[in-house]
Amino acid sequence: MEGLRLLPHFQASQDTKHLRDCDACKQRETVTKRQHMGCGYEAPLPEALGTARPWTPHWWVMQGWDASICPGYSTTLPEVVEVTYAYGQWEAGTLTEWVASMEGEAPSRALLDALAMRKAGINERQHAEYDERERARGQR
Amino acid sequence: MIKQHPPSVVGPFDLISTYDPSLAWPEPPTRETGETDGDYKARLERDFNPKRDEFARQLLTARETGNFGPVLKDGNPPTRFRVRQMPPSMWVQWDRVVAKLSPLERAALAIRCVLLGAEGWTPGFAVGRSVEHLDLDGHPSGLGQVAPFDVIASFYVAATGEDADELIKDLGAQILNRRGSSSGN
Repeated sequence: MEGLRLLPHFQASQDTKHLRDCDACKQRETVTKRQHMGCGYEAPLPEALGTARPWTPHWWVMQGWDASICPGYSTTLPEVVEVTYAYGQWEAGTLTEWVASMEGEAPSRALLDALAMRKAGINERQHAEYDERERARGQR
Repeated sequence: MIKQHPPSVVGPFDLISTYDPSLAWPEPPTRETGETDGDYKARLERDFNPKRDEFARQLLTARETGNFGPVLKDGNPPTRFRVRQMPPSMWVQWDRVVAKLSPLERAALAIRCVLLGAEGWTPGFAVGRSVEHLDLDGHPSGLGQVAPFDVIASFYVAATGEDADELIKDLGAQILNRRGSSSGN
């Protein structure tokens, strides 16, 4: 569920509009180009053609981390969307009631893991914004 | 377009077996007359295995996105096994309860813990009234209520012997892969 950690960065980014609609991207770009972009719908790039370079938030790059798959794919998976809704309920203290309303029983372990990952993504984004502000202040 | 409950970490969702006959797995090529074992094997590795691996990857994508359209043959819809999330109270007991079980028995128990129903399965199939799960000594195992053993018997009606075993192991693996790491308490 890499998409859960990438989502806050992806939402805040200004240069990713072309990645936000998978159907349009499939029509616009060649298979090889999408393989280079780490498209989740395509086979991995053949070794001879190099390594896929999916969009990765600047802050991740600074940490030496790489996204493994295009965030246009990973942030729109059904479970990622579901956890994004669940997160609001978790913060409000109404997760158990919300899960029951979705025909679930107690919150599953997978959901609790996913919520922690979503929270980690939000924390990372806050760190990134702080770093950006500090850098801008230093340049003034 | 197949309408199904998409993958979920919250509520019930559908599982489709890797062995479902509606999946468009590539067919291995037929052996040519006079072709040696070695030549045939080499041809499989060169021409067939990459197609099979690529289809397996597409199947994973279908499971992630909930869109099985691209991996299905035209015509018959797949059998959909509707499952619930394994309750945290079951996961807490799981390792202890299954310690002495074989991989097949573990998979069968995982299915009994979460199966709610199935569409396109054996005619008239329904998950019967839950029963208390008992350990090998006949005492309550701690897992609580699970589906009756009949649901596993239905796999041996729909398929035979090893095929049924493989189907059970495949569904069991799909359920157990979703365990996560939190205690859930």
